[in-house]
Amino acid sequence: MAPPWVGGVASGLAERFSVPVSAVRAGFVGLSPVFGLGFMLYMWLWLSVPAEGMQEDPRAGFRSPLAAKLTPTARLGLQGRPNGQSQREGARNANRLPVADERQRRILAGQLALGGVGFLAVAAVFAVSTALLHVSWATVFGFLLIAGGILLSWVQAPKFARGRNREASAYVAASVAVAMGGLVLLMDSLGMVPKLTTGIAIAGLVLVVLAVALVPLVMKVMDDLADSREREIREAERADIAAHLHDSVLQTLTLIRANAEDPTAARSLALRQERELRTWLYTGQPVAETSVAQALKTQVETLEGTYGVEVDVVTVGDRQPAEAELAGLAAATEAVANAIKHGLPPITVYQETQDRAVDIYVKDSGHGFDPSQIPPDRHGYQGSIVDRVERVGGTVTVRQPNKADQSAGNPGTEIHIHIPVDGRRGAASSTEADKDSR
Amino acid sequence: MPIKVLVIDDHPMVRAGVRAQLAAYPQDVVVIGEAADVDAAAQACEELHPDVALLDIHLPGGAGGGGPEVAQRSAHLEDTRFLALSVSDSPSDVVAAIRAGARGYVTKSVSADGLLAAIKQVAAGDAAFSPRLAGFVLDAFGTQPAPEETDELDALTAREQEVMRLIARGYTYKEVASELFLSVKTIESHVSNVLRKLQLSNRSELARWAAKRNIV
Repeated sequence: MAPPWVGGVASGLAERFSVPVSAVRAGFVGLSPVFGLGFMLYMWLWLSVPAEGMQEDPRAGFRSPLAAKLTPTARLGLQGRPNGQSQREGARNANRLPVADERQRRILAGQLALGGVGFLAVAAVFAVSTALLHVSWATVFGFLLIAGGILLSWVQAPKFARGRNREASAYVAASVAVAMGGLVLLMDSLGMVPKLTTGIAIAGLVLVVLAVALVPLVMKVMDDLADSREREIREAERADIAAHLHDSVLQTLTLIRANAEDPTAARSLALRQERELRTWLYTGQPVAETSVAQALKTQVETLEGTYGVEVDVVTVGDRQPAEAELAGLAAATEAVANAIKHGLPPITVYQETQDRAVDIYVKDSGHGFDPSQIPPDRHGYQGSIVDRVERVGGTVTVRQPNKADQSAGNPGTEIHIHIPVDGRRGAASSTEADKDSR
Repeated sequence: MPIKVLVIDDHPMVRAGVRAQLAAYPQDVVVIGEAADVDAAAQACEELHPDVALLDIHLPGGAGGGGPEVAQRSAHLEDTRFLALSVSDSPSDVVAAIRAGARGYVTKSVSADGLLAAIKQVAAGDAAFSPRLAGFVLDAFGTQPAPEETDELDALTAREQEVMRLIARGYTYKEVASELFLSVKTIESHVSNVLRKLQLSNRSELARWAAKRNIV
């Protein structure tokens, strides 16, 4: 959508009907001298635009629901489709565009009706006054400019409440200037000023005096508004946090107390709650479906919860998981389960993702593990780990890190899963939408 | 001569827990004091001169800087070294603690043995690196090694990378040393170098990595 000049009406119309913006703007301007039609039409369309919250899909980029309503639904589905979406999805999105619910629909209808009546009335006044009463067009136009400017500045009020101060102030300044211009035009046409330039000069001086007198007051009011809004937001967040803590942490603590005699259960409960709280605290984490690192962490956390044993996971680098990575992850999860069941803590998992390979190391500090010593009927290691990895072209190596140093205690086990992958596929992060309100 | 330890944490349960953990090693460490907020901690460091101060990241009081503020205010005390101990392992906290002068970072879920080992390392002037911290370092500096031995602050040498990788895999210094056929002292000096780089580097990658994770 072309950048909006005044209210985005021209840009929006151009987007919806696929005509160049300049043509639409030329149309508005060209129609203006014809009984002020272009100007009226623009004002009506602009004023009938509801609050921006109505717009569900930012990619569609059209702020006025009016033109959306002018188009039959089927065409909406076709035209309102952002790139990449299926037609059905596009239709669903486009249908959600103009109104969010019934009540807003009715408000919009009311606004349009009012606007329509107003438009007709103004046009009638204009026609009657110029044609029948022989009042000069400048007089009527002047009136309309004044009225339009005043109305426009009032309409900016919600924007101030939402804190969009600079944008709203610019609009107010513009609309006040328009009103002043209308006033000058009116007075000139009535012969009340000796020269147009004097009129403009007086108008300008009045504006300056008003601005100097009112601006500090207005700024203070806006500041107070912003403060109280901030306080509200903080209260809301606090209530949100309190509710979450009550629902989760408080419950878990009670459960832990009840299960204090069973250390494994208590540990498992505590671990699970810790992980959940951590996830909730640090938003913006990648989604498991698009991130190898996150997928690994999630799977290990599940194992932790099941067995009540803590496993440290360290990840470096990330990519989107495809078949090869998923096989590696599954094998690694098996290896971690083995470490928990047959090995000894501390158990660590290290995953490193580079352009050409994903490497996962699972290490524990137990008595060691010799693949050649597995009885032939136990297929866990061979089947779930080695075969899986080798099927996607990777390798599995087992070593005992501490074997050489007999005095250091257990030899330990480290399983290294190496998966070659092709090219670079970055991981996607979850949306930053949560940060919007800050 | 047992190491003198000061425990700084705003949770009485945690302080009691750490005391209990360290009480099992009376010949190695002795807890000489506790502090629960920034001002008390800075004062305790001045008066008691601990060898190692166990420092929680999130502390009330002072100018609101928490653990890092305590480390900065006590930077002039040459014999006191800070070991960051916190339940939070978020990257911003870890990096803030290191850049404020902590010589290591362990999470509160560390075992008593692990805690003792870290305290001993820090008391000896070396850096205590947990696998997670090693992971952060690799993430921040990138996994492509610098050309050769360089004193360049903005990159890790190949050797340093190797050491970091092994630590991230859960190897103790001793295991790293035997793996790379080096002495433990060499490993410790590599780790100290990495710590220094993490503290001082202005590398754009580090900044970009920090920005990506919303660390200022």
